[in-house]
Order: sequence, then structure tokens, then C-alpha cells
Amino acid sequence: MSHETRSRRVVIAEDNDDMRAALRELIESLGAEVAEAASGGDLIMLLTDEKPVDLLITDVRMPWMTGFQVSLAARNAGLTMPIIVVTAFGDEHLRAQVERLGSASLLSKPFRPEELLSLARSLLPS
Amino acid sequence: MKLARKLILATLAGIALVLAASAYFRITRELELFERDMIMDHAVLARTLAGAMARVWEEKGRDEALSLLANVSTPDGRFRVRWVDGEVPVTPALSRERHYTDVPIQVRGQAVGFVELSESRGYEQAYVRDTLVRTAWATLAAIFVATLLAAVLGVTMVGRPLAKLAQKARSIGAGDLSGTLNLRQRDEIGELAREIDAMCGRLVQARSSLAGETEARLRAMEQLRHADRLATVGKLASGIAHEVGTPLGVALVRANMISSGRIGGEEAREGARIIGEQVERIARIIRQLLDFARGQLVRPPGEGARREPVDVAGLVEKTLSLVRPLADKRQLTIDLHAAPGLPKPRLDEGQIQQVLLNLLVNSIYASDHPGKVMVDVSLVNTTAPADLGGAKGEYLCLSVADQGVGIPAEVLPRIFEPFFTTKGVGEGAGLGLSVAYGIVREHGGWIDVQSAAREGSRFSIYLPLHEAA
Repeated sequence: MSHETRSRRVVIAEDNDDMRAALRELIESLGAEVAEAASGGDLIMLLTDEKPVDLLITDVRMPWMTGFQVSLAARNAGLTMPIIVVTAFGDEHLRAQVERLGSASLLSKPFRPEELLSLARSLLPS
Repeated sequence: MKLARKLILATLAGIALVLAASAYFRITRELELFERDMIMDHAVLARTLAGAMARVWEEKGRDEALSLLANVSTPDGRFRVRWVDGEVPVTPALSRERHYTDVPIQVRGQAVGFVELSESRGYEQAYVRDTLVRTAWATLAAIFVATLLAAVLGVTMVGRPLAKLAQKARSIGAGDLSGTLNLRQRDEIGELAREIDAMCGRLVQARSSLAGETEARLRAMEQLRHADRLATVGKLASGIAHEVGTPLGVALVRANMISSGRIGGEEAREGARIIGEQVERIARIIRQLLDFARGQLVRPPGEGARREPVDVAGLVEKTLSLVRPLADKRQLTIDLHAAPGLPKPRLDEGQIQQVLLNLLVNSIYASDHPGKVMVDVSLVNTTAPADLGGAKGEYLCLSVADQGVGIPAEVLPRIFEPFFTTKGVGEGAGLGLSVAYGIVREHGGWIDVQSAAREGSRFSIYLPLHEAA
């Protein structure tokens, strides 16, 4: 696993500290570099600094702006990285919206760590 | 002046009657005196004449005696003396024109004839005529003076003050309580004027205290409505925050890309344009909410109703844009059906928007999601409830229906009571529907509710097309 590329950068957006730490641990196990955001605003800062982002994992419910709104704005600005939208309410309404984002997947809570890992692995460029 | 004229006429009739009676009594008394004087004069004259004639007859004979009578008669015939041979007639000569006295003459105990004295009553008649004419003149003069006096006094003491009283009564009737009569008269009219002045004073006092109370009530009501608007804003806020999130995200992404140097030149300019657009969108959303919260469309307390013809369908659409974010967030769609060509009743637009928002927010909160809220604007033919006069006619009907939980039958009669709420403490003041009810009532309309458990509720606002007078 460690031979997988170290330059890959994953942004994790989640307002719950425990959840964010858990996600970080999981992603770091893939050997990727992790940046964290605790709100929609932080997430925007991370997505738009000069470092490229290879994968975005974001919660929907976050203070000020939802992860979905940020994703929409990012797509709108021409950012094409794959996105995993994590949500507690895996409803059809949101699923349709996520599909429209393009190269985005919906992951419903609760999920098993392997689900996230396999999804992330498939999305990260090798 | 009619009253004064009647009084004057009565007074004049009285004066004329008194003068006539006095003239009558004076004339009859004078005539009596004349008659008595005449009788006494004749008696004295007759005795003297009889004595003189008897003596002359005895001493110098009949002719000498008769010559005594020659110069007694006056040339104008007023007083006349005549010798008559023979007995004195048993009944004296009676005449209206003349008064007769017969004096028997006896010579040596034997009656030889009599002297007839007569006097014209023409003088008496002239006197009566004269008295009548004088009385008539005096009556006329009295009537003239009395009329003049009555007219002057009537106008100054009765006519003018009464006219003032009447004018005052008219202005009081028209609602003008300013100014006092200030009549200084110490009579009944003056007393009445002072009472009216005092009454006006009390009315002014009552009116100002009433105006104060009305203003206080209006202010309290406006505060209540403001509180309700703020509560509605609070309910809308989460939806608004969500609504603002999207343009905010877009603007922030572009701004950061520009500031981090990731994009530049033409791309950056395009980014700035997009940022401007998104900020404008945010501002528009916030402005709408603020306008509603401040009650910008709502009249300030104390001002009269500000009603203008309102395009109700347009108002509904404007209002829906405020609640759509909240509905989206709860995965509700709002369907609007507005009949075409609806009339534009005169309404207070801000107040009706408040009512509509109340009903919409309630429906959204009551709905199961995902679901639908249906808004209908139509013209209906219906009968007003009995307490509104029960008039049959055309009304504008605005209905908001949800597919929510419905309102339990035991709660339904109480939902328009102020502070009535089925929610827990802190979840709502329970003002919304009572405020909505008050506003619709002020517009001469009413709210009807139909609700079935687990099927949903329909609130219908009925508004008259023409303002009640």
C-alpha cells in the first residue's frame, strides 16, 4: 500500500471532530495527504488554494454552507476532482442532485470503513 | 323666528283687547255721566222756567209768558224749547237723537200747558266717535311700538342666540367640538348655551381619551403583528440561510481562486462578474426578508388604513419566493393555481402578505416531507358568515392546503385564539393565526378552515372585492 503515490491530496470536510479524525485515519491509511475542513467556509479555502485536490470527502450538514452547496460552487468554478458526499439521510432527492454534480458518489451514514476505503481507492488516481 | 312671531302676535292681540275694553268702559261711563248731567240741567232749568212763566202769566198774561221762551232755544238747534197747550203726556217723548223734558205750567192752580225742553244727543255721539277714533289710533301706536320692541328684543335676546345655538348644534352634529358659545345672557337660553359649552368640553375630553385608547390599542396590535412577523422570519431563517449558502459558495470559490492567483486575467474578470452576480442574489434574498420583518409594506401605527388595489396573484408569487427555500429544504413543492383575470381588491398588501406567510409557513411545518402545498387564488360565489352580515356575493378566495397531519377536531375551534399553540414552550408564540384572523377581519373578510386527520388542512381566506363603507 505504501508504494501508492504520496503526492495525492484528499480534503475531508466534516463538522463533527470525532468523525473527522476517524475519516482522516482511514484516508491516511491509503497513504494520501489529508487536509481538514470543519465548515463550508473552510472547505472553500482548501479547495481554492493553489494545491490541487485529488479527492473531496464531504458531509452535507455543515455550518453556514452545506457540503453540497460547496461542491456545486466548486464544479461551477471548473474544479473536476471526484467527490464523495457523506450524508445521514440517504434520500432520493439528494441522490439526484449529487448525480448532477458529475463524478460524485453518495455514501450514506452509517457506513463500514471498508465501504469508504474501497470507494476512495477507486476514485483516487493511481 | 317663528316662535318670536307667535309671541308677538299674541301680545298684540292682548294689547288690542285691553285697549278696546278700556275704551268701551270709558265710553259707557262717560255716556252715563252725560245723561245724568243733562237730566239735572233740564230739571234745574225746568223748575226755574216754570216758576218764571207762572209768575209772568199771572201778572202779565199768556203772551208775555210765552215770550220768555223766545230766546231760550239755541240757533244750532242743540237746545230747543217749545210751548205745548194741554195736558202733559203720560209717556215722555222718547228719541235717540234728543232728550225730552216736559215741564207743566200751572196758573192759579190750573194746568195751562207745558214747556217741552229738548236737547240733541249729537254731542254725545260726536264724543263717542271721537273716543273710538282716539282709541283706534292709540291701539295702532301701541301695536307699532310693541311690534318694534318685540322685533328688536326678539332678535337680540331670542333670535340671534337661538341661531347661534342651532349653528352650534349643527357643528356638534358634524363632529366639530371646537369653540364655545360664550353667551352672557342670564336667561334660559344663556343657561342652555352654558350647558352646551360644558357638554362640548366633556365630549372633547372623552374623545381625546378615546383617541388615546385607540392609539394605544393600535400600537399594541402593531407590536403584536411585528412580533408575529419576527417569529415568521425566524421560521424562514433556516431556509434563507440555506438559500444564501449556494450563491455564497459560488462567490467564495471565485474570490479565493482570484486571491490565490489560481486564475488571472480574463478569467479573473469573469470570476469577479460571477461574484457580483451571486452577492446581488444574496442581497435580494436578505432584502426581501428584511422588508417583511420591518413591516415596510405595513402601515405605521396611528396612520389610517393604507389600501391600494392589489394584484393578489402577484402578491402570492412574491410571497412564495420567501418560503420556497424553506419548502425546498423540507422537500416540499408549492403549486400555485391563480385564476386568470382576477379583480384587484383594495388591500393593505403588507398585511395580507403577513397572513399568507403565516398560513404558508404553518402548512410547510405541518406537511409530511416530501410533499406538496397547494395555493389557490380564485373568485368564488359564497355567503359571508352571519357575524359579518351574511351577505351573498363574490369574494376573492386565497387558499393554502397541505397534505400534513391535519388539525384535531378538539383543537380546531381554538386555533385563532391568541397565544394558543400546540407546540412546546419556545417553539412558537402562538400568535400567527390570531394575527392573521385580525388582519383578514379588518379587511372585512374571514378565514375558513377545513381539516381532516392525516389528510391535511385547508385554510381559505375570503376577501370582499369592495371595501365595506
